[in-house]
Amino acid sequence: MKALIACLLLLAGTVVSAGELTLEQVAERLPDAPILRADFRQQQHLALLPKPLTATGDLLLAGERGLLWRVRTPFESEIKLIDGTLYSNGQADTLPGGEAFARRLMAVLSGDIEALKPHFRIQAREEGDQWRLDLTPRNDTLARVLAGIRLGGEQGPEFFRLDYPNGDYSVTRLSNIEYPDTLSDAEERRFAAPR
Amino acid sequence: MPRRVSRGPLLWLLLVGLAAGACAVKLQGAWLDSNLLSMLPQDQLPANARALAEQHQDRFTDRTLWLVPAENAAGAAAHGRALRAMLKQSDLFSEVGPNLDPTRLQQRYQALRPYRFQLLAPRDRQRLENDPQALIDNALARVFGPFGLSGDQWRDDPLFLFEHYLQALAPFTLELEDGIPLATADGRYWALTTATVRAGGFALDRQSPLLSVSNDVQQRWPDSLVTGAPLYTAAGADSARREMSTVGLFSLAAVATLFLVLFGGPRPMLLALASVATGLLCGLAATLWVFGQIHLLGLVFGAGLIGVAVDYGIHFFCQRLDQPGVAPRTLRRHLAAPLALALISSVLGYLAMGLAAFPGLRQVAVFSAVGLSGAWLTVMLAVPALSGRAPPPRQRLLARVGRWRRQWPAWCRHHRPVLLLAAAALLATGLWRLTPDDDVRHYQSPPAWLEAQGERIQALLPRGDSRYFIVHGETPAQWWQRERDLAGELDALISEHGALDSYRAISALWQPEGQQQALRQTLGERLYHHPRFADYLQQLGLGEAALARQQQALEDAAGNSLSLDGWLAAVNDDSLRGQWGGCDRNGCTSLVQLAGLRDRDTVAGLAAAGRGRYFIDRAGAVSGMLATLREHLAWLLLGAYLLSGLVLALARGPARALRLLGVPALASVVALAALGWLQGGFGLITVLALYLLLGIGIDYAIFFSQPEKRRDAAALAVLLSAATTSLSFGLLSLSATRLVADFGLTLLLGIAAAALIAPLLAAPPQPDTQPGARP
Repeated sequence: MKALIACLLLLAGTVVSAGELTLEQVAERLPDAPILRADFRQQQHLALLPKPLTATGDLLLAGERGLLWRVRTPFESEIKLIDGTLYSNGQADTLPGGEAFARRLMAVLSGDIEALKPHFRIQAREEGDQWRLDLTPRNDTLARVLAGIRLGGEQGPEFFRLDYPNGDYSVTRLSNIEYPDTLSDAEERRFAAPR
Repeated sequence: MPRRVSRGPLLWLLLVGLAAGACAVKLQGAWLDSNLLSMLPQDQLPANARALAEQHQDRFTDRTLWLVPAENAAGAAAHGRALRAMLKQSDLFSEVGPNLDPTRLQQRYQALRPYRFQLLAPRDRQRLENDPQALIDNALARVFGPFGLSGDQWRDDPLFLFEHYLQALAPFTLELEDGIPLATADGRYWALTTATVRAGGFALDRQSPLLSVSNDVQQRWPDSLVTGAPLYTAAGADSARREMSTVGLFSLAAVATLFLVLFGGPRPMLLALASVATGLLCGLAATLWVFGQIHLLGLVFGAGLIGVAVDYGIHFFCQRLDQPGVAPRTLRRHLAAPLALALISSVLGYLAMGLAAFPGLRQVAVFSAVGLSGAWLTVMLAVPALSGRAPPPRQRLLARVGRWRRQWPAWCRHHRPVLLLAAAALLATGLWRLTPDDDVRHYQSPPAWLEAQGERIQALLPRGDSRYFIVHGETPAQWWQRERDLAGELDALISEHGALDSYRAISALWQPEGQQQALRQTLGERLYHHPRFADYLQQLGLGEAALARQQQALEDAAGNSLSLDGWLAAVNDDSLRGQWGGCDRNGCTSLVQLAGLRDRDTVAGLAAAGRGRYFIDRAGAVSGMLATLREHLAWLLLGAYLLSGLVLALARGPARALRLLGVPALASVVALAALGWLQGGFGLITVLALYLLLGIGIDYAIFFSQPEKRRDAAALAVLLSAATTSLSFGLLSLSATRLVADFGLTLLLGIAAAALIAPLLAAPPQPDTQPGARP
């Protein structure tokens, strides 16, 4: 048993030490694209729920303009975050955590290290050919509701993990990632008409 | 008869003594009033509502806001602490803070948690009424949305209604580091500090230190920002003080030098100054006795009007110069009639100004009228007896002035067609270019750095509008319903017209206890005990047990309710507490804050005194009042001309009166046209300048209309007076504050024009054949 633990510890150690990576190196690998288009698969592990909540859908992140988050399964719903205002299913809604939180969320999704630096202590490392960032809130107020964020990917962020102080966590994986230069007409319309 | 002569100075001494005594008695208390608003008529607010409005206003007038940036939170907090220590050390501030408890949001959460079924955000209340399913759908979207979710939160608040409510309570939350609030912007942390300037009101001696402290802060933290009304006041007071003292000293020096050079010896100079000082003293005494206090602006304007009073002395000494052989008493007799005429017409003009329904102007009127009379009495009572020996003869100077006096009208007559055409063209275009300007902001000119920092801070921190509503009701229930109605109408303006972005009203966040209970009931009927809620839990994989637990929590909360005071204590928010004026025997009152006001008039249209709502727009009110005041005064100026004309017509006949009045009238037109050409604005202060011109112009006209043999001396007196007066007011035209500069410019040009026009209009065309016949 002791050997097993030692073995695991050793393994863990090698994984951690395997890839020393600086933030600058991660920043270099991030695509310099204003728009992110992707499918997502989100799993939320809540202690009070008998099984994880799983949702799939697609998202569109367009720089400063905002974020469109469309759930396809288990049912259809849509959240739009446009110019700091939140719309749930076409209705103006309350933005959880306020605008500052929304900005940070977008910074996480786009891997904007510069925007995250003031709010989190960031550690970079490498796993396989993927980079990983571990974010710990610098600030007490935030730390009380969020234990940490982990994100990683080959180029841009491909997965995010949010950890809560009570042990709950959620993991979101992106697939079919695209970095288009411009929005399609249909996407423009979705941004233009929040309701 | 030496006894007769010496009675005058005694009477004068008595007058000075009385005035000084009166001032001394009144100067014991708070005699100087500097609040711009007290110049204006009071709002028609119920007593406790006005107290609330004033308390709210004080938050703006005494408070300064300081921001220091750093790359990280800890650094910003450290800077913030150092800044606070520095501010405290200066001893200028009564309160430096805020030190916020980092757990205050948790405390608020805990304090309100038992009442979470009784308190709903306004939007959720509406949806619960109209479309409860939307609340479920939005909760699902929230669960599966990008924001993440922790089980602890969900258990207490499965539909996120409490989250919405807390968010509505604090739409803008600051991060805290070690108790110091931080705002994040530009990827940096900004430590926030507010400091309340000690002792409300006007403290001339404490304004400048404030600027030097802000200077020190700027030196230590070059990126730091500061804003707040006290800084604007300090900067304004500093520049006003600089300008006033420069102008005052310079014109004093000019008068003294001219007197010394022309009249040889200090006595005439001292006597002229004594007449001005007596005038000031009498004006101050009268104002204090009539009004109890004197407003700073009244003092400044009144003092400006008194500057005219030096003319009486000038006239006396010019006559003395011209007729050294004539006894001073005889000179006084000669001068008595024209000086009295000049005084009466000016005083009537200023008293007409006092008819305006503005307390401040009545002060100016009383101050000026009494002050001028005091100066006149000094010249009549004391100056002749004390004037001493005759000044050295100045025959060459008098001859030269006499030549100018005769040749200038002749030259004008000779070139009449050209002159008239050119003047008409210049005047017409100048007047056409003149535009009204009543913007109160033009009465002060904050330094560029202060304005820039104010704008930066505005961009960093969302701040409320300075305009707001006050709501008043006879009973708590009536107050709440009235505020609720107003809020409903504001909602409509937000969604339909975009007239404003948002508002903050207590009634939107707290409901009377009966309605709190009804709300919990409705929550049960439409959500917790409705099948749609069970469906919702099922979609999250939760079954009967979870449903029962949630329903039990709702039942357990039955009977919980929060009084307004209890709610305010639980929320523990300074700004919300500041919106509540409380209840007393005058009723209950509250304040509704507005943000992002775009269509002022539409929003202001919701005010209705009958329904206890008052729209308060102090800056707008001041600008609006200034415009009204300007119009009032312009009409009263016409009245003043009529009154002066009447006096002149009684004394000199209607035809001559018209010519005499033509001097100030034409001079005013010239001044206005010139102002138009120089792109000046036509505001309240311009009209005040025209009042001054009326008095000055009539003086000049009356003196030029004296018998021929005294006219050379009169011409010298007019030129001398024009030189000194336009010198001092001309200096004002260099002021950094735009309207003060306009004031100075109007007077400079108007006085010059009056001096040039007076010989043309006032002097009778034929040499006077009845010397000294009619005054």
